[in-house]
Amino acid sequence: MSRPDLPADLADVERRLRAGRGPAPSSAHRARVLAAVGDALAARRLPWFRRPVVWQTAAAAAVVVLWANVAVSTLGRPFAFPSDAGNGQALRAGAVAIRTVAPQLSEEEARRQALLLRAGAAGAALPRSAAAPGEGSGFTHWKEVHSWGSP
Amino acid sequence: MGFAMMWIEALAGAVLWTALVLAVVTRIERRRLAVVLCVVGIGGLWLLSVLATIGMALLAKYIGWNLFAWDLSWLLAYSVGAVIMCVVGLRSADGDQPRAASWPRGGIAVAFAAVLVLYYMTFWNQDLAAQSRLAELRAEAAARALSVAPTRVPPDQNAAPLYRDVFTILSEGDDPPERWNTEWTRWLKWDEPIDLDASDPDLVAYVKGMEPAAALARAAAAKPDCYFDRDYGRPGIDMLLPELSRIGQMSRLLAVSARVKAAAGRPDAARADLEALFCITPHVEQEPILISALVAMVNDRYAVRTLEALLADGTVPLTAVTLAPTQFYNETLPRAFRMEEAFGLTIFSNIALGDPSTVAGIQAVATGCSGPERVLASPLFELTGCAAVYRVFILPPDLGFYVRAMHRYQQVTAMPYHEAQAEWERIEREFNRGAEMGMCSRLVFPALSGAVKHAATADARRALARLALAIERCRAGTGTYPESLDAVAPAYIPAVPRDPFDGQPLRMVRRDGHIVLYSVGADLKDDGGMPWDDKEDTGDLVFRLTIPGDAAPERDSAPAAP
Amino acid sequence: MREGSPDDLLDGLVAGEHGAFATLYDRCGPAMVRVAATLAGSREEAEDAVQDVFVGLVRAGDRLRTVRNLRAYLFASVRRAAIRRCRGRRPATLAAKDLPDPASGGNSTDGETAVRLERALARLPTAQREVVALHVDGGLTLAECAEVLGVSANTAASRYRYALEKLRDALKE
Repeated sequence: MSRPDLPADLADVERRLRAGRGPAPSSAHRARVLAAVGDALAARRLPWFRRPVVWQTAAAAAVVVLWANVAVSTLGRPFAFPSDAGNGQALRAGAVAIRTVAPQLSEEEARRQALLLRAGAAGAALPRSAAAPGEGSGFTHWKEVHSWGSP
Repeated sequence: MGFAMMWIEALAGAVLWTALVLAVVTRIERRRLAVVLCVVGIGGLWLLSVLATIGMALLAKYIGWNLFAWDLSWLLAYSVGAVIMCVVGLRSADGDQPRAASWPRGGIAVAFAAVLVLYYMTFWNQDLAAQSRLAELRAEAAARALSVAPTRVPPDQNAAPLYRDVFTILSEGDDPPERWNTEWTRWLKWDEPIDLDASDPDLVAYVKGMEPAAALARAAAAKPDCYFDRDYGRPGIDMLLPELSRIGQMSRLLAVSARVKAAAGRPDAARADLEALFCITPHVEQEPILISALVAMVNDRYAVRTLEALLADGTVPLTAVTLAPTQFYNETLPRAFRMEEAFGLTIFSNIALGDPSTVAGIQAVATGCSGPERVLASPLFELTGCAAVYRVFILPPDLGFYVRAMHRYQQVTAMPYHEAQAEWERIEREFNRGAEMGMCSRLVFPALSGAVKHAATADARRALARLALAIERCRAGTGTYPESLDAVAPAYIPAVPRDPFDGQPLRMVRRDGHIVLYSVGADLKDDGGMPWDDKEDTGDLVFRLTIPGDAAPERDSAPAAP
Repeated sequence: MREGSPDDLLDGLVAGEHGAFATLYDRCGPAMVRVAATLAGSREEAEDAVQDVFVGLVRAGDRLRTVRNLRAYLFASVRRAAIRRCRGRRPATLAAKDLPDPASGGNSTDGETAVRLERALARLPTAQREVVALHVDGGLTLAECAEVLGVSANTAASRYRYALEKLRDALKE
């Protein structure tokens, strides 16, 4: 039925539109749709641990966790604990001792020299002249893995 | 190559992000929300890029201009790409819906995620390459350290075991009276009146009690060589400092012992202590570490001061004492700089790899810093992945700066000091006053212009001492002190030693009953032999010979060539 | 509740009763296909879109309880599904095979008019075509059309009027 507020010409257009508008669904469409509905209902009734979406989500989460783990392990030691404050104190004490034996150095330079002299504190595979092993860090993969004999 | 790949991947990701934002917002019915999301999504990324570029320009002094150039080019490329994407996407295909509304959001999102993963993998590879290079760097540093490390010597020629015995006695013996702690400096300081009371009972008792240590020190000093077994590949503070502090104590002991023995009428014993002092200098100096070099310079200063005092005393025959010139500036320092460089490269590697103990050390060093190098001291540096960003983007120019700067130090020390003055001043201006320098370089690079002056000063003192002994031999041979240095060389010394500060021969004046031998000193001004004033930082380095009455020639006063 | 309104089926749909879905299809399915066909441009795409909507109803489950107007919800879903299917491209005019048989209720002139009308409809701006499809093919009121499209009722009415005017002008050509 045409809308009463339309002018006559527009109402005529509307009437023509309504006359047999649009295709009817095919004869097999109803059965196809209801079969799809049946399948969806059956899937809905599955216990949660048998639903595909749960496993897909779990797989995606596993990929993300695996990626994060790989990223974190390759970028360094993200699970390292904050640095040992004692090492900083030892360095400051060393700087004081350096200034005692070499007063020509400024305080800043003495601290820098103390830092440089800690260059060997993080063990690495370095050639050395049969001295006793030096300090190692707390992380096993930084400890010396080679021991080279004395020249 | 890696930078270029990351540049391209970042650009592709940014353009895909822009496309994704357009595909999403053009499907939103509410216009205002769509506009806001578009501005935030695209404009926000562009604004972040602009801020990053500005930040890199401001920090270029610390991280180099290369990064800024890469970033600016990326910003320009992205700006063009984003404009093109927006023009294409927002244009209506049929006068109705924008083209971007038909773009597949899921496909674009997957492509964007894929580009992100690709970018991360490239970054990861770059980081692995950087870590591998750092491992090589540590090995290079160790090799460099070993290249300047002293070689082992046969045990019968090695003074080190005897020195260790001396150190043991010093550590177990009684400490000197505390009042001497401030007086050591006055007794042994350059250019102070010689006011040591060599007959002070406490001083005499101390010297007597420490005679076993002094005897061992003399025996050690007589050895031709000295080799302390140190692990130069893995240095540590404890490796050096206990011994160096005992060396200082040993030097002071020998210096006051010589004076006390001279006052007690034991000239030969006094001379033996003096000679031991001079022999300790090369034993300590040959260690390729800057602190050891500085300790050797201090020891030599004690020795020269003691020589001056004994010459003034006049009772100790010293004409047979021969001294070789020192080369603190041209040999000792360059050796120490090479070791500094080896240590510095290792520290570089430790910092970049986020070694916790080095980070703790940097925190102590960084307390005086005000620039972005402080971020290296943060525990979050490694935790937040900033260390990886530093390794990939900032480490190469930072390390390059450090290596070039250290190489420059070594080049300059190869020149005579008086020719290198202008270069040292330029270095001090450039390196020590906030010029372009990498973040890690700022923490690790040594400020050595002071040490350079000390080295030149030590060489000048030793030259003055040699000249003084030559004048003494001249006096012993002729019966009078020479009126000019022409009478001394070449008869009693091959040539008048050169002043390292100006390259000219050392000078001599007579004043107030003294012969004053002098070097122009670090201020490079000839002050006519006026002593150096630490407060004014001016004056000359002087060595005074007291002129007694006419002195009879010594029996063994043949002008022996040094 | 309007006659033929699917709101009374809501409980059965939420509970997952197969019969409720069958009844819903009988009441609204053909209209949904017609609307989808107008938006997507082909019957095959339209049927697939309607199937997607029904499967979506099953998956919505308890969330359907929050729907105030199921009819509007259905046709909004049909609209989105049809747009996804054709990915925003301008749909082609419905193929002749998809048009109703002109001989079934009219003469050849009516058939020719229907084809011209269909062509003109396909050339309408998307916003106007949607209103026509929902109102004429779907049987929704203009207020319901406005709710589905997310615009005001006046806007929907305006779009419908403009659409009719353009179709009128197209028929006069």
